[in-house]
Amino acid sequence: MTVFAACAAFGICAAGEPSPLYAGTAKADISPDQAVISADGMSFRLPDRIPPGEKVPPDNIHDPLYARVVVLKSGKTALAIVSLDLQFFSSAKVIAEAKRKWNVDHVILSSTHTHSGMIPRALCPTNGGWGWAFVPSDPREKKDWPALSEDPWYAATEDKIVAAIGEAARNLFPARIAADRGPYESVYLGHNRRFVRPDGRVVMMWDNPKRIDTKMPKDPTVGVIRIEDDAGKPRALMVHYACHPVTMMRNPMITADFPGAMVDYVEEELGPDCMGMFLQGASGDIDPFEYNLRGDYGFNMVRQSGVALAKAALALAENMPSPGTAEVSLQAEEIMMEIPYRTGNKSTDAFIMTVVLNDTLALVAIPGEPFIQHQLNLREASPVPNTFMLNVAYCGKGSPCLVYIPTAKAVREGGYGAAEATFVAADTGACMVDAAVAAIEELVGK
Amino acid sequence: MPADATLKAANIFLQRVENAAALDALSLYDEKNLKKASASWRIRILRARGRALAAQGMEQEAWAEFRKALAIEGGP
Repeated sequence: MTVFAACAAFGICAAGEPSPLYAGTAKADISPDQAVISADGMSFRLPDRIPPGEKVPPDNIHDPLYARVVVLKSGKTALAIVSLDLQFFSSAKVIAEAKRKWNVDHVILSSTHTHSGMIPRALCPTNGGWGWAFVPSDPREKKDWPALSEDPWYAATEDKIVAAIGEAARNLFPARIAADRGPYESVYLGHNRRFVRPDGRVVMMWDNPKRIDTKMPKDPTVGVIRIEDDAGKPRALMVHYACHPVTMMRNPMITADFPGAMVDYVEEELGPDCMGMFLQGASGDIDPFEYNLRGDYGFNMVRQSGVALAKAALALAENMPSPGTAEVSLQAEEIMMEIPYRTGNKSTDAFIMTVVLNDTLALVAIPGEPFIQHQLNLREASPVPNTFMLNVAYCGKGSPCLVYIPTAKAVREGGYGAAEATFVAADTGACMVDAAVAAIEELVGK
Repeated sequence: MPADATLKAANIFLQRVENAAALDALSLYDEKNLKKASASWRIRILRARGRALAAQGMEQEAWAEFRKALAIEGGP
């Protein structure tokens, strides 16, 4: 596997040199509206895909989908972290426009991965093309990715995200930032859906209503990143947790699932000046205990699981030490990796971004769905205490989505995500973790 | 009310998001009555309580019920 460091510690500031931190926030509603729907229904969960008798848009929008943006600027380095209530959204156009229009050098498009949001019709699995049911190759091989912008909803969403990045970048305030991670064992979320039986056979436990401890890898922790203004008022709270938002997967309603409920509760508690944000962790093999629910019971479970996660995050944020300084060292390293196919006959490229703030917070953006063990390994090996792996996070180059990134052990064992719906070499995740750790070490000077 | 009817009633309440009513129905099986039930019914009632408590947002209490059920299931 070849690794190319695209830019070594870019930014004007030398590594470790602190500069004042500025932050800005913005959000945009990216739910489909009537104008988009009427344009030939070019998106998922639209009239012709909804079972007869069910509601159609806009009546099937249970809760709105949002793009939430935090822009961080220190020295001449600007970074936008965008959390999208979508399954994934890999738009090179958004990232290029953010740089061209707003001088935001680096953008992480991090989807919450809700399976009840919107995706372009061109990516619908039953549309004769690439979908999420079975993926034998890089999606670029079958789809003209830039052409997704021909879908009216997709194009409108790209424009809204670019505008939201601009709004955040134009309204920067002096900021301080702190991060922490603490234990959180959810009764709703965080179950490893692969179960390896004593005889070695893998059984997919898509749900686990009995809450059986299968002893498979999981990460019963929640991470928080708190941004406050110079008066100490909270302005953004980012919550990092790993779990597929599939609670309402097969219902025809549009919903942000538990990440949306979590953010709603955070914003209710911290007030309208503080934006909540969900950052999806390495949830490649992680599901809620109850999934694929319907009706009022399902939406109540979405609400309760989101609220419970929010309460855990708020409790952690409240007890975090206050950030001592308004000056930070904001650094990033972009890594282009050549990833062999598991079949060995070809390869693709993956673009990974590693961001480090003040030697205390690191973000590693992965354009795929890593299994949870990779997140645990990254945290164990990273010299930065709060190192968060971001799932389905696209940064502007390389493959739009590598789909599942299992561990080599899981590949040997088999099961969904390990033997199916995955095409990358078995050691891809381990190589990514090694590359990210090397980048973090370089950035913090160790 | 028989355990089977109690569980069905609780489930109907849960589907309607009448969570307090579900818990009320299940309260017929307090600790004393639960001990009188067979292990298989105890497990089902504890899990129903766990679901109802989770639906009510009582996370720790829900965990406690699920764990009690698992302990009985894993016991001799």
